[in-house]
Amino acid sequence: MIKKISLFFLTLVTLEAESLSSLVTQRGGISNAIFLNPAKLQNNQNDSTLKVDFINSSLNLSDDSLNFLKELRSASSSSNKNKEISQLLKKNIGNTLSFSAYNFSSISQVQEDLSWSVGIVNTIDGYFITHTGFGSKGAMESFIEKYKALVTTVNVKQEQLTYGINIKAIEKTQSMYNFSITEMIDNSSFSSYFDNKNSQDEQAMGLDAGVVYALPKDDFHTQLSLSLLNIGNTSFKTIGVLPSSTNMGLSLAPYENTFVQIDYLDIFKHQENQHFEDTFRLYVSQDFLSNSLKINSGILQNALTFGVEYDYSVINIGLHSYKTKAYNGQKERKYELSLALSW
Amino acid sequence: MKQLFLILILPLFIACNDNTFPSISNDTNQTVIEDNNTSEDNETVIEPSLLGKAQLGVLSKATVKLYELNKEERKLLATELTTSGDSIESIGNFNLNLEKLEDDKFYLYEVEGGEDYDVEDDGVINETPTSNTGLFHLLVKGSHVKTLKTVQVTVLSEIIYQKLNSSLSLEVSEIEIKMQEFAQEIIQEDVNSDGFIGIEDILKFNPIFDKTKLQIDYQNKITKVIDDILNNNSSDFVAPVFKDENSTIKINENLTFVKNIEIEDSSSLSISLLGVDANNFSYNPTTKELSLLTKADFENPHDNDKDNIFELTVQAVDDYFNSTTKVFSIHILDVNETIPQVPSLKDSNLSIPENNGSNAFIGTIIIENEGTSPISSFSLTGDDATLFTVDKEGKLFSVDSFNYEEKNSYTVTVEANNTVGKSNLVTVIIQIEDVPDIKPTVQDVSINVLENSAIGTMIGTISTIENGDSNITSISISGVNSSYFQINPNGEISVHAYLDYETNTNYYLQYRATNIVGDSEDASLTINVDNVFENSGSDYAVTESGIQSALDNADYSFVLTQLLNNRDDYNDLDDDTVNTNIAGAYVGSSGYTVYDITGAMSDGNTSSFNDFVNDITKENDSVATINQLKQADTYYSDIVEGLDCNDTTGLTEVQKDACYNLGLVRLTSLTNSVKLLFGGDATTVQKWANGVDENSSDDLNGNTVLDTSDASACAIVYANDPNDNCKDGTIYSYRGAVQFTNQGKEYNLTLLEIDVGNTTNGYQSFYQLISSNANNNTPILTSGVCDTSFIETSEVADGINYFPCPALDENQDVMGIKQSIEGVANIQDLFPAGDETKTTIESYISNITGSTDGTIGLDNLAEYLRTH
Repeated sequence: MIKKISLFFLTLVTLEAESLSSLVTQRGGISNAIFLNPAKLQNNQNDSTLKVDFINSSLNLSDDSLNFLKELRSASSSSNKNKEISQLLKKNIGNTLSFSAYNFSSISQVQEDLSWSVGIVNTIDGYFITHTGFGSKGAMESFIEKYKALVTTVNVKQEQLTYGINIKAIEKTQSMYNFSITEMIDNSSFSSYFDNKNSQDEQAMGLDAGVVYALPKDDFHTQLSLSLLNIGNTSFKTIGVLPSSTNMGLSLAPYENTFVQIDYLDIFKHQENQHFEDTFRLYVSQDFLSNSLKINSGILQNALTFGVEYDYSVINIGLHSYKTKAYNGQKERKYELSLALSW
Repeated sequence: MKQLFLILILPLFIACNDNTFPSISNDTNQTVIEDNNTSEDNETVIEPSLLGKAQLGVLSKATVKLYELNKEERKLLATELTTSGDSIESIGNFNLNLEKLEDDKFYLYEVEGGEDYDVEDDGVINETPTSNTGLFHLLVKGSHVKTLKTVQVTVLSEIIYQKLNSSLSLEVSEIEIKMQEFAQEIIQEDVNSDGFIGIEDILKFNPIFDKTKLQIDYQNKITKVIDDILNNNSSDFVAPVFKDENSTIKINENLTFVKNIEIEDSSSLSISLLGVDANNFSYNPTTKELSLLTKADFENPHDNDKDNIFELTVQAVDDYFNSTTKVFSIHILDVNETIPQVPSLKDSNLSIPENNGSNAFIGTIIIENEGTSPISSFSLTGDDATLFTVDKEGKLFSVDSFNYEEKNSYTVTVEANNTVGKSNLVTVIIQIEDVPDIKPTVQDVSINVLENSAIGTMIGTISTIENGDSNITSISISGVNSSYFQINPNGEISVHAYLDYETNTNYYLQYRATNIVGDSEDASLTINVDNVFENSGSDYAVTESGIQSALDNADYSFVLTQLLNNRDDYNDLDDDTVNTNIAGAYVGSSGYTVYDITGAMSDGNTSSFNDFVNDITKENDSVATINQLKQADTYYSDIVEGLDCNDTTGLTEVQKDACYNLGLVRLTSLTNSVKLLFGGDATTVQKWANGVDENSSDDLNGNTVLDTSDASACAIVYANDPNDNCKDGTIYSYRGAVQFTNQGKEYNLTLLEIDVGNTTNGYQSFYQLISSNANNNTPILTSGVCDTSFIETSEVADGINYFPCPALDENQDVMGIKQSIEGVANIQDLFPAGDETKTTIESYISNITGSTDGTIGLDNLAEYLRTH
């Protein structure tokens, strides 16, 4: 019976990675920078050729999730696996096991005065909390959100100023369900997870605007940025809102191949219960090997981030670690593996 | 070797030398020098036997002037140059002009200039000659030259000349005598081997070979004289002269200075003090002072023979090794030492504690020597003098109080007077000693501490305490709940009680510091308790999620308190949800999670009775577990009442879960009841295990050992049918009635003795209680042994310590197996039809109770035990 519990988890973690992350830029840097400021399209490329990002995906897991999966793999290969899996679940009572994934496929062209981009974003964030099994939330509580969005970005550059907007058509799917122990034991498939009464879809349109000011004749290539995201809130009715936020940032390149970015998010505290650690981000990166290897670090949620990216031909592979807040407000360290194909 | 060679060839050279000398063309007033090498017509050949030689080393082309001396007047007779050449023998020769000499007159050969080809006087020609810029002479009587025919003008002849220079006015004979004396003074070894040291030795002296024939002083001296000649410097041939001829000195005792000893000489002097008393003296060459090293003391003579006369020889040696000595006699004279003396004081360091008041005695000034009359007064001067007074005994007093914190050191200058005069001036330093007189001062402090900090945790240090002028001896805290904290004299505050943010976030206290002087004023001490997210207490959200978090954190008492006592705070939750969570808290309290049960269910062989029981019960307290599960049963039952759990269609998620969970709870409760019944102590009867025949009638429950569980099994069979003998071979016996009293309530129980074993291994007796009234003829669930509260009503037992203790339920009633089993009957109906779990449960029920139709009773179990 319990053998099916492991199948349940393996099914979850092999779900197709299809998300944009919430939005994407948790670990900082210039990747997907338009989601923090739509005027930063030009940061992503520096010539006027047509650029296609066929795949720009990442999958990340929390500390607890990684450990859980490691132990689950060990328990699954045990001769006494059902008992060991039960013990593993008991050990993780109260822990949040989470994952998230995103992909952003786009086509873009950056020119001197006018730049544009059209892309499709998919994100998924999942949280699973194991309970004692005798309470009203069953043996496992689940919360999964998916976003699908068509994002069109336009940048206009006038001397030192660059203006940009994102127009987003977004579909959000949210599923919340508490599994009883009997369901964990007896249900053999979760393929219909998003197609049941526990799942709810909503659509919305969103608008972002931003401006970037590049200091003239500045050896450090300093840029000051200001953005308004989800102007007027992007509402998904009963399943949530992407709240409007005003954000500012500073980026500079003090040395060759060194990039520094500081962001202060949600200046006017549109989101409730914001603390300084929620709004301050620092990102520093250094390129090596003719810019094919990038090592980065920074501060996010008052914790250190670190990561490495490697470019080979049209492939970009990255591994990052950072702390974020889970949906229940607890901070957790996540490990992200990303892959991008672009040309 | 080279010198020996020169000696051997010299005669040959002289004999064979066709060297030519510069000839002298001479008249009375003029001397003409003709070079023989360039004027062969006028060549004058000097007979070797008439040869003169200018030899500092050998001098080439030096000008040689021949003077006739008449007293101190000179008359030039001839002038010529010395020869050049390439050997010692050929260089420096000149014509002695014997024909111009008269026997009884003195003549002077004066050599000037030229090049010295053997400046080291080693007989070896120098590659580079040394220029001679000076003069040197040979003073000689004509007869001597004529007799010898060869003479040397050397440094020795120059020394003799210098010594005689002041005597040239003497008669020839007198000069000759002096010359003879000087020769004997200077020469220590016969030069010309004639057996006599005299004038001829001077004329024959060759510096190459004869230096060592001079007195040792002159061996040293000639090098310096040669150097003076070459450099046209004057030499000193005069011994130092003591200016004062008086050699007797008289001085008073108590003095060290003796006399200025002045010595004249043209070069610098080296002074030595010699003689038996020399060690008592020193001589300063700069000041010329001769002094005693210690004061002369007539009464205690220091001189060698204690006669108050020091014998001292002073020797002066100049740079030219000219030496003079003079013997002194220093007489020490007695003096009358009782002369009037002024007082003598010493520097003093005195001290006094602060706050001393006026006219306080400080200390006494140190008097080294009062002098020859009593001190009549002291006087004070200096900036601080007005702050002190001093009496005629030297006692120092304060004018007013001192304050250490204002100034801690004073300095005065002190002088004493007697009838003779004023003493020396001394410095007296008065140190003011600190006396604690300042209380501590404190300031308001605020400290933050995390809640739940361990007792003894140091949470901060008060650093705003001013000690005053003595160390803090204690710090005290006052105010409401001040006992929650402790503070040590260093100001370190530690936690002394559990701090709960949810109870109190601020402690407004006061503190004061104490030193040896006293207490400070009070200052406020505010301790702010910072919240720590504890996932407990008020940290839980008042929501279903908060309740779930508490359950996950095993904070069951919180859940029960909230949902049973504060139900109104959870109005968003329906009754079923509330009851589910209450039941969940009870299950949790019993020590189970759902994974414990499902893990046990899924793991073992579904037919293994013992595996399941052991796996699910483990080390728990079965009595407490059963009671907790019974509570959970109540709340789940409330949810499922009237529902058909076999068909969950239309049921809410909570209701479905309640059906399922109720089944698990009852299964667990049943299992614990069985454990309680059969949970024998295996080690007690381990010896039986070896002889157990699994097929024997004794191993009723099939666990391969004979133990109390077999006795319990037999008791169940007996309870169900007193006429049943369990299995063949098992013996049980009725031991009579006992009365168990609990909280005033009497229970009349039957005590069975059950002997388990066989004839091979022997038998072991066990005891089992059975109720035949209150619990409807059922074996009583027992736990451990009891030794109290039993009243034997009939027959004597083997010992009351063997009696098992009845297990009590939540109502403090004795708990029977019948009651326990029947309470969890038909749990398979709580699982949905066709559910995989349902099948598993049914298998377990069958194995545990013997029931195959869901009707579980004592008879089912008895039948199962009796027949399996």
